[in-house]
Amino acid sequence: MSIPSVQTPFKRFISEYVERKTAVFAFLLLVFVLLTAFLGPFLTMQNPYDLAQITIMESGLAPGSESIDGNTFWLGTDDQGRDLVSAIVFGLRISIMVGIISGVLAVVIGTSVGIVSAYVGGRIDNLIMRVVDLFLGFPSFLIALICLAVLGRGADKVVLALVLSQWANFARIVRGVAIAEREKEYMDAARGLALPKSRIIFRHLLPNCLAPLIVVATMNVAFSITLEASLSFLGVGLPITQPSLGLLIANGYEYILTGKYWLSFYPGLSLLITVASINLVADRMRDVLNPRMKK
Amino acid sequence: MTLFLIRRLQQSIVVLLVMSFVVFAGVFAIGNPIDSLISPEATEQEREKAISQLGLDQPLYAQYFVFLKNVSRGELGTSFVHNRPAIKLILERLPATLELTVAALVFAIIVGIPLGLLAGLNTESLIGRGILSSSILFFSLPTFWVGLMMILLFSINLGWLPTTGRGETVEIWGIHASFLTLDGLRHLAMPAVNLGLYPLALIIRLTASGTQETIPLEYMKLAKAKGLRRRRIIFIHLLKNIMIPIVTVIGLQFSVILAFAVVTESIFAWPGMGRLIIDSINLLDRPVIVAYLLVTVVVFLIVNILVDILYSILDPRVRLGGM
Repeated sequence: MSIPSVQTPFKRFISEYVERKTAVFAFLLLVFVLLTAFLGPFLTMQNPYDLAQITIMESGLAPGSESIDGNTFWLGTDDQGRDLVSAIVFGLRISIMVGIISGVLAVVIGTSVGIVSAYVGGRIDNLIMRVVDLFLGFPSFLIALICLAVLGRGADKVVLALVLSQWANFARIVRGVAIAEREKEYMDAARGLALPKSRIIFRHLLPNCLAPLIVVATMNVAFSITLEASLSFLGVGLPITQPSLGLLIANGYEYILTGKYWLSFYPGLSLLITVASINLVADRMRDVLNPRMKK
Repeated sequence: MTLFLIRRLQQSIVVLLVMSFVVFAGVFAIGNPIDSLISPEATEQEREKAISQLGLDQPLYAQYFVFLKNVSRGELGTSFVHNRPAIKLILERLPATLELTVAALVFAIIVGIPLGLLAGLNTESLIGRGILSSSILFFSLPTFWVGLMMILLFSINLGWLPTTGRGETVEIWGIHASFLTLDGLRHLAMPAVNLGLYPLALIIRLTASGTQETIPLEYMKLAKAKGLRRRRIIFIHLLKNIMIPIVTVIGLQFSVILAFAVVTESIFAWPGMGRLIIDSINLLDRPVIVAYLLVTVVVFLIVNILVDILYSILDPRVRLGGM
């Protein structure tokens, strides 16, 4: 930049973000994945869980085989004659929904707890942070596993387990930022205006604490998706009526020794592409937003 | 140092007590064990008698004290499924899990630190960017899927490595270990690499970013200006200073890997406690679940104390007594 031009922070963010080609590619990939997940049921050749649309005659076909009515099973079929592409699209939908819902809930709950804790301070802050420490002392996988061991399987329970295993992270981060922000002059001004406490916290303090959260929250969605897939793979996550990618892979696991590799390979590849694109986007965002990486 | 240890032990005991209560409340109080223990044909009187015999008519805190008393005597109940003391079942399998966890960490450290240094020293080169990008890929790889693909490639297609079990073990001090025999190593290789991929990615990224942030600092310029050899600058001045966050993360990762061992053990049929816990969850074998959780908590607490001690060795500024 030879001429210093006036840029909004958002525009500057975009122009720096696109400097790296892999990051742009990852972003496009992510858009594609999300579109597939949301529009999926309108695009696939069949609803893989509608028994009227699948036939046992077409079971266990290799990728690229042709179906009876002339379509192509690009990724093959499973033992019940389900088109794997359709199954993956439906599974992706469930995985992404669970990931986003639990990711957002964890951020909202963690942020609220952290910011209130920091603003109120004193004994309540101390108590809340003890609880946060207790949660952070254990790996999220273990917390989620314990929750599901107690609660049983089910989509709502998986979301609850994921939220419980993640919220403390956000509470800790937000509290740290909020404590630093609390002492700044605009907060004194807000207090001086005798604004109600809730308004000070949520309208003045909160927006200034969000920046460090963006990257962590984005990565958290990816982590939630992986965590859900792992738990479902182990048979303690989603029930078979909600076949996420993790369950598809678990299904394919049974056929791995019989040579039907595609049943576990492609669902896993889709999972990898989803998670990797989110992580790559988040990683570039961190580089752009981190002032320490500036040359 | 002694003061530090005493304080940390006190803290650990508090955490352990809190956790034992949480575990107790979570596993024992939710749901009604009576339904699974007494036949549905039992009369109302028989039911009440059984409830008072088991102490289930007592308030929760009283039940908890009974539970604590039993725990302090090392009694965590008998497994419903295996009909053996739960704590024994867990402790028998603990060494296998620890071996796997340590092997995964060692793999991650040995491969991760050199790669991270390489990436951090050559950020703009193809190698550096390649390493960093692939570390994000490792980061995103679903552990269980990679495990399956490794079996597919190395066991089924190439036939190089066995898919399940620990292989031949050697007994040292009454504990079986796989890493001392060739056969055991062949069995250990895939699960350890599988479990180590995630910490590997983390260590690469931390080492690389630590290197990047340290190089512009004054003492690095001084070291260069003094005309020290490049090797000495990297290994003494650079590495020693970036080790602190890496050790922290390795310490924290130990418990994460220990938890994720559940997944790897399920795939490779590694006879550790992770596999046992999944079976126990599916069969609602409560005493085993409780024993697993308490043993895991104890291992975490020990590891955390060890990490703090390691800190003070690496960073003389950290004084343990003052904490």
